[in-house]
Amino acid sequence: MSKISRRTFLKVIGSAAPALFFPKVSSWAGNNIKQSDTSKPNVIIILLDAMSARNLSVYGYPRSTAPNLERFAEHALVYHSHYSSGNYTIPGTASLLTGTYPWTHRAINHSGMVKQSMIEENIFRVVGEGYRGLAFPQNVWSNLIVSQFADNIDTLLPSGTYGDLDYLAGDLFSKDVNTSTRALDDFAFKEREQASLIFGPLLRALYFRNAAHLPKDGYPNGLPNIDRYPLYFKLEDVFDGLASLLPSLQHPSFAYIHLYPPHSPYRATSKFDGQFNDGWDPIAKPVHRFSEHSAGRSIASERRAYDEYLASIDWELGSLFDTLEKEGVFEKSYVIVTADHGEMFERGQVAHTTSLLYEPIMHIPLLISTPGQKTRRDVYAPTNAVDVLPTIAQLTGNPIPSWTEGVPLPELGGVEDYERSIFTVEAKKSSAFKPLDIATVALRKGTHKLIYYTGYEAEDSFELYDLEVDAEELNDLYPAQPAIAKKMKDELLDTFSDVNKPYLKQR
Amino acid sequence: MNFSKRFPSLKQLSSVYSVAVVIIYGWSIIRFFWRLPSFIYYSTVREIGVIFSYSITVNLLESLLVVSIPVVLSLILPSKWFFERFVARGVLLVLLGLGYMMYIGSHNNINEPFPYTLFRWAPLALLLILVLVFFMDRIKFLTRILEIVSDRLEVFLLISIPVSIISFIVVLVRNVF
Repeated sequence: MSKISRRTFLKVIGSAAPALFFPKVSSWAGNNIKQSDTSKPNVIIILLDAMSARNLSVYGYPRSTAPNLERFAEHALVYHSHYSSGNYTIPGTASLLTGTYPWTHRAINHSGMVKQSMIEENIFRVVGEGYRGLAFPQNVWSNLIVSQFADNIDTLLPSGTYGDLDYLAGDLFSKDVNTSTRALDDFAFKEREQASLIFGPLLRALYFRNAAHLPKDGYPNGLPNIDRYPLYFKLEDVFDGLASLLPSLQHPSFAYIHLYPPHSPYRATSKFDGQFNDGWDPIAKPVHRFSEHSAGRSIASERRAYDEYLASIDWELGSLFDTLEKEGVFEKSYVIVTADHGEMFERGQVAHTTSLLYEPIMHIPLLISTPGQKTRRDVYAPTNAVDVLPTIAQLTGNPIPSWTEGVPLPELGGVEDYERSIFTVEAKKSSAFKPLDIATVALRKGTHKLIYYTGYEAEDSFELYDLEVDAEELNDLYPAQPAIAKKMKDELLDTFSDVNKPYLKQR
Repeated sequence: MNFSKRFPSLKQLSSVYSVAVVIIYGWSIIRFFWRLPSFIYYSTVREIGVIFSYSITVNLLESLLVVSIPVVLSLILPSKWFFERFVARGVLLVLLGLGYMMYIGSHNNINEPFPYTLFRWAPLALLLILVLVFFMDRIKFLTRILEIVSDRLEVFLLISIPVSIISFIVVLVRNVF
């Protein structure tokens, strides 16, 4: 009798667990629920939270953080100037799933939501006719957005599906995931300042007690966990679960997999822990007045931890890609690898909770393997997360909805437009129901990028960079290039004024 | 052993329950109002109402759990130890027990690690609370105050019970239909 390896065992458990507890999952391998054209390719989005393109070797980063993504890129479309629409999970995810900018969908605050009138305007509904929708929002914040569209999703896997320790209360209320998560995990049993006097502390105590006893083999810095929420997981369990789940999808299916890593805390596996103790230092950049003013040494060590975590994730991605290859998934599916926002380790700022919109936070990976693709193709024209929805609409044979603010991606029905204007918006301090009064907006047009800060200081301010000659954004051209600055400023302010108009009326 | 003879009357129960309700619901409502400005930023009134309903439903279960402790003690201990002084000892038990939980809760704030060590002292704290319950009610002045206060607090049940029932129905409806 052949010996069953731990990984094989975990794969079986990984795929069996959701099937046992969520009967709808078993239907993927079972009979058809919807009458559909099985010759249509599947569309699979694998989103890695907080993965900055700037830290990936596939995009030229000097540390070898993503050799498996480089391998994947050899049979994929590689978008070199792809931008997130927001700078953290809520707006970034909402933009990707609604094809609209944060100033339109209004999920702009921590724990924010897509506005009620737009609930039906989402990617699951767009591909819904004939496609079966599956979503696995491992990140609790992404679950807050995804669960708003639950009516259009055939199978919504809870955040803790492949977790090792899961104390999320919202997952227990499968018919009301969104509000129960907000009310319980995000309020009553919240990590800090819990509203519940009895169950809250008791749950936390139980969680910490059990977390302390979790085997941490292979994770010298502790197991990966969801920041602020009671959920621990191992990378191998999550990816092994996906390696079983994704090949079992019936055609045609649309799967949205929103993975929490490499979001902080950065927990590299022992294979990669310490791998980047290489003495390499990125270009020094001045501390920004709006940054948290983290010390340089701490920034460097955080960057190294992030890079090592990226390499650990890439290793698991490699295993997943091998399985997908072996099972013929690449032959019959669009596999999209992207992120909701990036991560920043410069200018006195660590991570992404900031009002700054520099490239490391906005520039995210986008690699798309089309069915049967054997060669690499590179796209350099600027694109945005809002373009994913119209592209998928087109790929799945559906009309592009009129409400989307994106356009189909080049090479997938769209054209390379280097002069197109694309935006990234940060407005977590503004009300979702009022004009954006405290915000940062970045406009990318051609090779230039204009950053607009409003509401932080007595006067609004701008920065202008030419990314072609100054990719590190060190030379602010705003005072030196008045003509370009004025043109872009006028466009940005006009757009900003337009998007705020509907809310001015409500004042 | 006749348990029914040691089961507290509705009047005794409501006195102890009202103390638990005021502390548990009060704690939760203070946190709710502290969080309200944030909710208002991104949630509609209806959504805020549902979040409040979940919170109150949790409070309802917590308050029932808390009041069940003196009831159980009344049933299992000799009458002289607890049943005959149910209100005074029950109120003291609820006050001290919830005080301990509030102490833990107040230490579970954003800038400090989870106060897990406080839980390690729980058995000792529980013992201390029981000792205090049994000795403090010998102070007549104190027991009289506790009885008067708990009697006054019963008025809050007129609000908390209907609100809890409505909240429970809201949660039930959202998860059944």
